[in-house]
Amino acid sequence: MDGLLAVSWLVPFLPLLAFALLTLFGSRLGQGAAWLSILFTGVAAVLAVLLLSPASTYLQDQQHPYQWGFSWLQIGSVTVSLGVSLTGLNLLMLPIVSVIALLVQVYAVGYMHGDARYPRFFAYMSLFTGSMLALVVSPNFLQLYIFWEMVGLCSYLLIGFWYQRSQAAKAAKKAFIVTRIGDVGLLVAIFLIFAATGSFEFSAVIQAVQSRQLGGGFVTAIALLIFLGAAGKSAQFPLHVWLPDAMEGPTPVSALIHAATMVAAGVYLVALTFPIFAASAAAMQVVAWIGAISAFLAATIALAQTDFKRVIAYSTISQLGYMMLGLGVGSITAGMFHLTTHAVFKALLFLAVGAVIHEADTQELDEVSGLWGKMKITAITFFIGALALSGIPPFAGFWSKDGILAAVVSQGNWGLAVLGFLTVLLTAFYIWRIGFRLFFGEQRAPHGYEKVHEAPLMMMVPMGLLALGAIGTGFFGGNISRLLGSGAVPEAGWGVAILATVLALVGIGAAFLTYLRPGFGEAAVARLLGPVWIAFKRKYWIDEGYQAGVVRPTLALAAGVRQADGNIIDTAVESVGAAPGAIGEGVARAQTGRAQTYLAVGTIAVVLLVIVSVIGGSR
Amino acid sequence: MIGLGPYVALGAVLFAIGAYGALTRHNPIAVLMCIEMMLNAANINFVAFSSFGGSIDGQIFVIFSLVVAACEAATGLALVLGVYRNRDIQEIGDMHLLKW
Repeated sequence: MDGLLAVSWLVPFLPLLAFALLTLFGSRLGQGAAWLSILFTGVAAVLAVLLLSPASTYLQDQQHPYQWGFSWLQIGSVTVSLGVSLTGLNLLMLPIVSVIALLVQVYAVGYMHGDARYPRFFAYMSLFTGSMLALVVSPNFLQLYIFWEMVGLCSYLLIGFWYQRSQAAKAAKKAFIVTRIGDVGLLVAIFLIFAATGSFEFSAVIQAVQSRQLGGGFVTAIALLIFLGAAGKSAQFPLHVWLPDAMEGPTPVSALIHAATMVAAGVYLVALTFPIFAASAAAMQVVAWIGAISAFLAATIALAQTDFKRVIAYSTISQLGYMMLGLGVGSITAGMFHLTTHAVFKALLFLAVGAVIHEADTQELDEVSGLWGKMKITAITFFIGALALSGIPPFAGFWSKDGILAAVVSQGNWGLAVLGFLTVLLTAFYIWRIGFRLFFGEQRAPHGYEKVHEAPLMMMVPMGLLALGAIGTGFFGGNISRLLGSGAVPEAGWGVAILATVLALVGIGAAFLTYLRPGFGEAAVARLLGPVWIAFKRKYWIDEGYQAGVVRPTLALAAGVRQADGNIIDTAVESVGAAPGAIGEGVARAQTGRAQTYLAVGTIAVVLLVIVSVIGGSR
Repeated sequence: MIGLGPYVALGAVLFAIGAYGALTRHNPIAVLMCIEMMLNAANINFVAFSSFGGSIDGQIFVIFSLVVAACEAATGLALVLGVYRNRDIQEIGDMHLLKW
């Protein structure tokens, strides 16, 4: 089976090859473009799954991960290599990314059907898949950063895929700029690491940290800078503002990039560089608190949004916050386990609401409801996803979320624990609010309720498979902890499990009472909460705050600089240019056009020269 | 036997007359004639120095110089005629279109 390890580089390479082929020949393939992309991603996914067993055996036998690479750059005495490193963490990410990418691409065959730029869409999807896979197998910081930016680029391209809509173009720009703020942190961290250790390799850096070669303050600074990059990518407070806007992209994109994989890259990065964080208690505190605050804030915002796709986006922020919380309290296993289950059930939720958007052609809760009669299968898959998200046993979310909560409780930080448990309640409420409002109640849709029917088979099959995953992945916690080798999933204990489940059931019950019992409704909740509800609905005015505090001052500064450039610098430069012209204008008058004048001047000049030279010569 | 001095003096006088005429005459054909005069002043100097210096070179240069002068006169006259026919200009002072 070692032969398989030798071709592990094919996993990221195949989707990238598909991108190249689609870019060159995509327009000629037409609808076939999708199948090319699916074929290549499919082979990569099969390979990624098959790799699990030989690579983990290798890991156990050799006590170090399988490495493959080639030297890419030689800078002085430093060799920068590109390649593949199959650690437990990487081995976990490979199947998650490739299998979900495969399912989402199959779904997109139905969802994107008839789009004018159909091959382009699949080219971008392939590029994303390949870049993400290359990111998660990186053996060093430089390769990680290259593909970190590549997935950011794909995110930008795909959010703005329908660039004709100005909202989508703006959202793409916003996502790119906000994540870039985080990326600068990561880049500076990489520079600092290189300056201190002279190496980009993860193993060398982690060894340097563990052997305490680096100072405590220095390690904290590096950890916080890395976390800044992770928070930008994983949309953690206060850099979370781009993710809800990113919902302007096509729904398969939201499911793949903005729920299951790319946004999880931040969590992956923290898990990958975990020894650096572990060496700094302050950095761990920051990670845990930012995670908990993100989880709680995003969940409260999700309560009041009327765009149901955005609710799920806020839910993603909230769940990513849980993962960060898990890492922050020291349990890689809990964080990565939740990443795995979340990838499955959140992709499922996105695909299910995508089916609704595809059929009803709206994302507004106020415009569509009562779809149960028309879309039973979609509704069932959605509710499976909702059960998994709210953490009802035995669905996937229950196991992983309880792992995180147990880790928090065992650490004994009650502030974090309270936020974590409150978020469970809120999560259950907001997701079932969507479910009840979409599928029950008055039967209506913007283009006529009668026209709505189930989505095409190509969309239903991935939803079904993911629904099975949302039920089943929760039972793989033991396998994941063995693969990662980072300790067992924290034991929830009956207390935590029962409390979390009861809170989730209370949330579901509250949503049921609010939305399905006649005479009560959102208006009543809004009245009850008053200004608090308005704060939720307006997302705590964070966007407005950024607009007033960052965007407008920046634009004003830019306008001022532009004015200064136009008035002061341009004037100076233009004067320098104009001066020779003016001098020339004056001197040109000497050119009269009269040949006799020229001749006279010439003659007089020669005579003078002769006189001068004669006088000079006689001295 | 006349010495070198009178030949050179003749050349100088001829050149001065030519230069004066070229600068002051209004008729373009007269100006051309004056230019020929200056050329011939140079030719006299060539021949004189050649004859007194014992080398034949100067006299050969004069042959070339005469050919050049003939060509110059031909083109000069053609230009003067052309300007006269197209623009009806007879005064050299009015020929001042070639400027900024």
